[in-house]
Order: sequence, then structure tokens, then C-alpha cells
Amino acid sequence: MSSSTITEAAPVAPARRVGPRLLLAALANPASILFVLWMLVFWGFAVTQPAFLTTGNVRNMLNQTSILFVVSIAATMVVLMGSIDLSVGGLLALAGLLLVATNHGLPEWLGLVLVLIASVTLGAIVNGLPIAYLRMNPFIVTLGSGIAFRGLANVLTDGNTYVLNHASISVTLATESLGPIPIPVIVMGVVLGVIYFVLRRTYFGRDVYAIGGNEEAAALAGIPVKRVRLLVFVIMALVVGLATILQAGRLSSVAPTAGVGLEWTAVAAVLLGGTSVFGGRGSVIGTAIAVLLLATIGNGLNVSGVASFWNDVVTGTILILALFLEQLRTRFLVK
Amino acid sequence: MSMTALQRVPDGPVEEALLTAERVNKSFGPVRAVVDVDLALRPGEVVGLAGENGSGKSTLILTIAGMHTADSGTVRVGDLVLPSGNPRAARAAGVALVTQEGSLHPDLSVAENIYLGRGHARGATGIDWRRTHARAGELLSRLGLDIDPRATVGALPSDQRQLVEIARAISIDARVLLLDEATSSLDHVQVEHLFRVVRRLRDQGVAVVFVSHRMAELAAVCDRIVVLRDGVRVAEDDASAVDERWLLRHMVGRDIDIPESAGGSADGPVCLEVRGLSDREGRLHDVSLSVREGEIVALAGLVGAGRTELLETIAGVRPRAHGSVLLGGEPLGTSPAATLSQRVALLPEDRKVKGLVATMSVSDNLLLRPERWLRRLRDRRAEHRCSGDWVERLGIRTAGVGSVITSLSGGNQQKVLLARYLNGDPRLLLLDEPTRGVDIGAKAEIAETIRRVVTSGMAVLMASSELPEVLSLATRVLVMRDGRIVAELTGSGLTEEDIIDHAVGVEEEDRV
Repeated sequence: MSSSTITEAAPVAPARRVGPRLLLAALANPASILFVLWMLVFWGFAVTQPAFLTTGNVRNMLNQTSILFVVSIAATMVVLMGSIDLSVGGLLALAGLLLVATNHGLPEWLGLVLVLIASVTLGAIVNGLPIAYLRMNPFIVTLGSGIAFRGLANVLTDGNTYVLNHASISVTLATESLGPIPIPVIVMGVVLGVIYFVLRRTYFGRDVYAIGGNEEAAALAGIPVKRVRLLVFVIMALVVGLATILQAGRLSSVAPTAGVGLEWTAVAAVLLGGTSVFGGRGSVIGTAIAVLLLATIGNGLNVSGVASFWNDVVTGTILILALFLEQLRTRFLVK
Repeated sequence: MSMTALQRVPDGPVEEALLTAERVNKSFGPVRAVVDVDLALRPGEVVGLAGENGSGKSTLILTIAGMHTADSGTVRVGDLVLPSGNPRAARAAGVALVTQEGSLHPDLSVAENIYLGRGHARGATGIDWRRTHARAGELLSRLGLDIDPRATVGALPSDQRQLVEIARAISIDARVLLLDEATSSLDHVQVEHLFRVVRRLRDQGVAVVFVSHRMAELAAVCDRIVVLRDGVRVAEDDASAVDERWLLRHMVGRDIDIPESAGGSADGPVCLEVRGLSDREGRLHDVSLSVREGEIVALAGLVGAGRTELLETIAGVRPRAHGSVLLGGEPLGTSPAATLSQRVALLPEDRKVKGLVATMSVSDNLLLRPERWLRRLRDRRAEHRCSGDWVERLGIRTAGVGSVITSLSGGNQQKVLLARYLNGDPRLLLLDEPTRGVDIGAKAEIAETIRRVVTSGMAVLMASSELPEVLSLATRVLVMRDGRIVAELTGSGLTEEDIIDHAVGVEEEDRV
């Protein structure tokens, strides 16, 4: 809508049926190009790299990406609401430090619960309340809180990494399998499923979309904008807590450098997945495909022996390329 | 859309036409927006271009101005054939366009806006501002306007901004001026200013195309009226020879009844009582009024008189400073959510900004209201059934309740919004310009809906700048000026002049 010239006649066109041509119909969905792209990339690596399509490698790839995956799914909700959370990486590093206490006699399960509680508390008080109730700009608030969280993590650890001696639960969660399915994949599925359900089937989810689409109109229609915003940041922080546990389990250690840049990769995945940067439009399915695409490329380049520094170059390029493809799609298919 | 066969009315041969458009066609995908339209303009002539929203008026003049590329047909200025889709060439030939949306930069001065990117006087070290201001001043005085070229555009009232738009457009030495819905955001006095400028330009030999769907305006300023329907030129006549009924019939394609008697009755118990209401920004002063159940009370007044502010303050959107607002004797809440829960609904003035969520579907927009998150899950089928009922009841034309709201015409979007608030079964319905930017068919249907709902005891307080609508709907008219209610008018003999006199304060001395 945004770029089209003002005309009287154009918008009255009835929604057109693409017809039985399945391919065209599929391409009418924004996530479809991404899905096709992912399939192509996956197929490309599978054909050219014998080490790529092995159970071990695919499992490793999924385990590795689980942290970005769950964070991106939750971040989709934030972006859909027309907000952003840039404190994710800092919060992950800071909350993880609680697990150091397990080296000094704190039971691990209690440590993990405390991580979740601390994460939610910080997310609610430092991000959610100012953004929701004082109407402060989410970009600035979370940029600031993210920097401060990481700074605090550095202060508390003096920059040191702590190896966890009693991390059996988190290690299991982050690396083990249940039958053939890696537990991180189950966690990914649960987070995706729950947030998908919340967005699609609850009135809370509807309110998130409404606020992202037109906050003023939503408020005038009686939608409790402040409460929705707070709750979205609480959910985001809860998922970051979960990611903190996965991260600690993967490495059996916590460090003040954990999750550097995670927030930006997550936002990139959300936007790559077709969610509007202005909010109101998008879905977690798109984000899920986007994360898998990025993971496949990263892993594929890795097994191909390309230096891992190339990952970010590819991620950034794909983000811009996807925007370009999306413009082509709307220009030639939707018209 | 009515699908009666559309008879194309060709333009007769025009002597010495300044601009001639011949068999212009423009489609957007499957939609034929402009079909084989001819239009010829003589110098010193004002041609009214009328039609409902979506009839192709804007598309036609945007195509003439080169903003759209025509599929076929030619546009000539004198003997020069304009290359299609080239706004520069059109401007160079003297075709000036003022669009609906407005293209001024609010932070720049009037002169800077007029000469933005071109035409300013050059000095030795860049722009010579003194000469640029002088040149802008000359242009403004040519239009008979008393506007300081140094003033910041954002600080000007909306009608003056509109006039600056025109000044900017004709600054290219325009011979043809195309005005697209130039009056849609102006009140009656402001429209008069605009007409004075248009007549002045006409007398200077400029040909003007005036796009509108208001008969009164077309009659006041046009020599000739051309009507488009579904992109086809369906009628043309001298402005002096036609009336509202003629216009409606050709615009809509069927006869439309204009009800004569006012709606509502004044016998019910008092529903809304406002006593001594003032707001914090000083836009309302000591406003008192009451609305009975089953009554339609209209707020009339000029732009800025405080009508919107009054409605928003009652609805709790804006904070009160003094005074009380009672609904059926109970104090009314002070937030939108609170007043909504007391079944007070406000249909906002600007549906795009304050009403609809452009990214959501018809159904989601229609049913947008607070819901307890944990009480029940969404049931799409039930939602579509409910919104489908409203679509049927209000005659909303849409491809389906799942289509995105922006695929509907303005009138149908407005009906969706009205349905949202009626769906809450309000005791008090506050309507702010309920038919603004709405085509005539939808206008009549919305008026009919308002008439119908008050019979069940709902109270309606509406602000409207459409005086015919006010006169035909309201049981009582309250006229506002400068944040105060200055007159209460009733009776069947009420005329538009009565209302305007009070709104501008003509009879001030008589009353004091």
C-alpha cells in the first residue's frame, strides 16, 4: 500500500483468485519465496558437500541454531507490535551469571528457575514498564538496557568465563536427544507452537497485531495497549531466559560475552521472515523459515571450509536480497 | 456497483480548446478506472468533474497531469500532444495539479514551498531569498491572498495551506489548473475563500477542473459539470441547468431518495447530560448540553470551533478540566476504555488515523474491541458469521469479511467502523463527521442507519460539516464557535444560512 500512487479506482478491485495454478498460489504468500530459497540452499549443500547431509551435522546445526530460533520467534511478537528489543544479548549474558551460584552449592534446577525469574523481572521492570506505561521509545530503552546489562555482566565477572560444574539439566536440554529428536528441536517446536497459538487464537494476539497496525486506533477501540506491551516484553524476557539456559548448557559455561549481537541477528531474521518493520503484518512461520535458512547457510559454508567470518556477510546480503525479491513479488504477482 | 449499461457521452467539438483529452483509457490490473473519456477545456472555464469515490475522477486528472501513464488516448494542450506519464512535460505545457493529499512541507516557509526545487531567484551565493520572497508575494497577491511568504506552512490554518498549494501549482505559469477534492477538509467559509481564488484565476483565462461530489460547490463555482461513473463519462450539462437529483442519478446510476423529515424524537428520558465542561487545552469553555434517548443532536460550526474536541472529551479521549458528564444520571468514565464499557461509542473523524487498522481484515476491524484474554479463544468461523451479519445489515460491499480493510472504498470502510461501534449496542453514539470522504450512495445508507438506530432508543450526538445532512437528520442543532455552544436551533424552517450565521457570529451584536 505504501508506495502506490493515490488512485480512486485501484483499491476497489475484488480479491482475485489466482486459480488452480498451485505454484502461483503458493508464491502469493510472502513466506513462500523464503521457503523455496531455503530448499534450494539446502539442496545445493546436500548435493555438493557430502559432509552436510549427515544425521550428526543436521542435528548439530539445529542444536546450534536453537538459541537464535527461540529468541527470533519471541522477537517476532515484539516487532509485530511495532516495537523492538535490543537488550536480548545483554540480558542473556547477565541472567546466565546466576548459574555460577550452582558451583557453590545452589541446586541446578533452582538456578535455572532463578534465571527465568531474573530474566522476566529485568525485562518487565527495565524494558516493559518504561516502554508500556511511560511511553518511552523501545529502541532507545532497550538499546540502553542492553548495553547496561552486558556492562553489568562484565563488572560482575571481571570479564571472566565461568565453567559450570553442575550443569546436567541444561546440558541435557541443549545437547541430548529424545529418541531421534534432539531436545533443542523439541524446545524450538514448543516455543514456535505456543507463540503461534497465542498470536493466532487468542485475543491477546489479535491485540498485538492491532497495536502494531495502528496503535492510536487500537487504544481508541478500548484495547489495553499498555498491558499488551508490558506482557509482550515479559514474554520476550521469558524466552530470553530459556535461551540463556540453552546457551549455558551448550557450552557448560557462562560468560559476559554470551549472545553478543544476538538481538540484531534476531531482528534480521524477523524482517527476513516477512514481518513488517512497522508492525502489524507478519507471522512466526516466516521467522522460523528465515532462521532455518540462515542456519543452513552458516552450517553449509562451515562444512564447505569457508571461514566463518563470511556468515555475517551472507546474512546481511540475504536480508537485502529478500527485500528485493519481495518487491518483485508484490509488483508482478499481487498486481 | 450498479451494472446498468453505461452510455458514453462524447464531448462535442469545442472551439479553441485549451486542453483536449481524447478517448483516454487507464486500467489498474483488471480494473478499468478510466474508459474512453473525452474532456475539453476552454480558457476561462471552470469544469466540475463529479462522480463517486472510485468513479475515476482522480485517475483521469492524474493521467492528464502525467502522473499516470495512459493505456491509450491523447492529451493535447493547444496543438502540442503531451507525452503520457510525463509530469514534467505536462507542467512545462502549463498544466498544474493540486492533489487531495497535499504536498506541502510543513516545516518550510510559504515561499520555500512554492519554489521548492525550482523557480527561486538565484543570487551570487545561491538563492536570493529577498527576490524569492518578493516573487512569492506577487504570486499570492495575484490570487488575492493575504499570506506572508515568510510564514511557516505548518502554522497556517488548513484553508490557507490549501491556497498555498494552489499558488504553488500555478507558479509554473499555469494555463490549466486541476483541483482534486480541494475542499474536502475545508469548512464553508474556507470554501468561499477558495472559490474566490478559483474565480479570479478563471477571469485571468485559466481553465480549471474542479473535482468534487458536492452539488452545492459544483453549482457555486462551475460553468459545466461532467459526471463519471465506473470510469465512463455518463453525463454533461451546464451547471445552471442541473440540480442535486440529476447529479445523484448520474453519479449513482439510480434515483436516490433524499429524506425530507428529520430523524429521532425528543420525548425520551435524558441520556447524556454535560454540565459546564471545559478541557485542559482551552479548546472548550463551559459547555452544557443534553441529549435524550432516541434523539439526534447535531453539532455544527466552522473548522476549529471545538466540535471534535467536545466529542472526544465526552468520550474520555481528551482530559477534562472542569464540569461533569452524566450518562443516565451516572458519572461517565474518563478513558476510552471506561466510556466504552459504559456503552458510549465514538466514531472518530479520521478513520484512517483513529479508526481502522489498515493491516487487518474487515472482520478483525469490525470486531475490534476489548476482550478478556483468558475467557475464551478466538473462533474465526463465529467471528466471520458475526461480521458477515453486519456486512449484510449495513450493505457493506466487500469481496469477503476476510479481505483486508483497505481493499474497500471509503464509504464501505466507514460502514465497517460504524458497525464496530453499533456492535457494542451503545446507549450513546458520538459521531464525528460520519460521512466525510464517503460517496453519495454510502452517505445515504449511513444516514438511514443512524435514523434506524435511534428508533430503538439510542441517543446520537454528531458533528458534521455537511449542512444538508445536519438539516435532514438532526432533531436539534447546536452551533459551536470558539469552544462554546452559541446557539440551539430547532424547527422545520431551519436553513443552512441560519446555521452559518451563528457559526461565523454574524448576529453577535443582536444577541448581546
